[in-house]
Amino acid sequence: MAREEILTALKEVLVDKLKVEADTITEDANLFEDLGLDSIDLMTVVMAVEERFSIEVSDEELEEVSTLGQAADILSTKVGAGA
Amino acid sequence: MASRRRVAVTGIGPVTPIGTGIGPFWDAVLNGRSGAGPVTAFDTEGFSVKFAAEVDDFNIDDFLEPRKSRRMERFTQLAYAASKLALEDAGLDPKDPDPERVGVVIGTGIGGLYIIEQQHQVLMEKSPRQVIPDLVPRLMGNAAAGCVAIEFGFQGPNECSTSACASSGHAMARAVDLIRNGRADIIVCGGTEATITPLALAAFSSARALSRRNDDPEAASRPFDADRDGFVMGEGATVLIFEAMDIAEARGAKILCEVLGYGLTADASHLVMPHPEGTGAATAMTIALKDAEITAGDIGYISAHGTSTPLGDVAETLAIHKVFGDSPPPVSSTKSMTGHLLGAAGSTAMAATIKGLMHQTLPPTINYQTPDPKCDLDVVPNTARESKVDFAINNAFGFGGHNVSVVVGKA
Repeated sequence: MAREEILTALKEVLVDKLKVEADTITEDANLFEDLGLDSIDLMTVVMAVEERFSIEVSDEELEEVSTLGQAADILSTKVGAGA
Repeated sequence: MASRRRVAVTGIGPVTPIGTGIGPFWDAVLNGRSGAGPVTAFDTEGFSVKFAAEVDDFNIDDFLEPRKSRRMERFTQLAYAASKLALEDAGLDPKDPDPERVGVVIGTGIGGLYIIEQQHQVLMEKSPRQVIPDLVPRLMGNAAAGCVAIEFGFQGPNECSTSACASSGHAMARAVDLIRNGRADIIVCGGTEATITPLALAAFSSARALSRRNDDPEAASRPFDADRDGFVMGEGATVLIFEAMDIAEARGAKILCEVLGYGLTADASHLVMPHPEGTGAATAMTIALKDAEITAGDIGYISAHGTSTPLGDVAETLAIHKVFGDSPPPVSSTKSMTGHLLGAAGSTAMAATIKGLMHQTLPPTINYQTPDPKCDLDVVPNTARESKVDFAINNAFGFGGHNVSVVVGKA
């Protein structure tokens, strides 16, 4: 449940704030190579989700992320884990 | 001394309160239309000034895909659109020239003020952790020049002049240098500004710099008129294509005019008030004429800085008399129509000056009803005028005491 919500939130940020074409966004899409994000874009995404779900993501955790699905995995473990 | 490399203007791209694209812009100038009206960008409740000259209906999506414009603040968006229009006007495909020989110099007086205001609110009301990560590259004044180069691939000299309302004057002067000294063949140059924001409107109002004619915005900007009471805030961008004459001729470009010289000085007297005798401005014009290798008598039109402030217009009048004597050539201020585009003022007035040379028609000073004995000039009142003009001079002055004069000649 949380993962689905986060995935939806991530997609929203990608489309609304970063103007990524909605139909290019899949769970397997590489955020950098396929969707064209840069490091500042990634921070924009993370901050939006951090605020919405009252979670915090460290730089080390972010280094693991290259696809949208991975981002959703990491973030969903945080939700409910105590904010 | 070896002959200097000549500088042509081959394209004009205005995005202004009176028109986007050179056709609509010049049409508005010829018809003496005002771009001023009630502020629509935000609620002006509580503001002593409630009007400005906004660029209506501007949408960057008409010029660039959203993904590419996502980090462009309005001043950068306007500059990008103006650059695109200027390149099109010049018949120049950005892919054609050697990218290392094309530079960009776009000035701005203030930069991305709106996003600073907005994010400061986030900082104070939410949390430092909510301040957006791309704030700095969005607000910085040089973002416009940087983004234009990124989108078009121009790898030559790239910079931003910041000298308040003289910013685009300095950009044009810098472009001349870069072409003359062989550092580049083409410079995309001009200015941009988008600071019709709550903070800027409040600040200029507090300084009593703005007209308070809230009941009649279109009549508020009245340079050299006895009843002027301050300038009208404007926004917009005008970008010009300055091109080495040899390069322009080789590609068969239409030469719109030639940039013959410029003069740069400082008043060195006061941060915001012009030198009361206009000496710095006069010297800038004198140096520009000398650089252009012509005399004051050759000038057929003066495009004044003429902001419609009580002091500024008098000082400029004195400066003009110092250089041109008792009977100077016709002088007009297009700010009567466009409002004051601050960092984009010089290049916007230059757009009208160039069209004036091309069509042998002088832009009017609209809203001119009551002559001011302290501004005893032929201001081309209210109606554009056909007139023989071979050479024109364009003034841009800025807070800080900066003076720029640029001389152009008929192609």
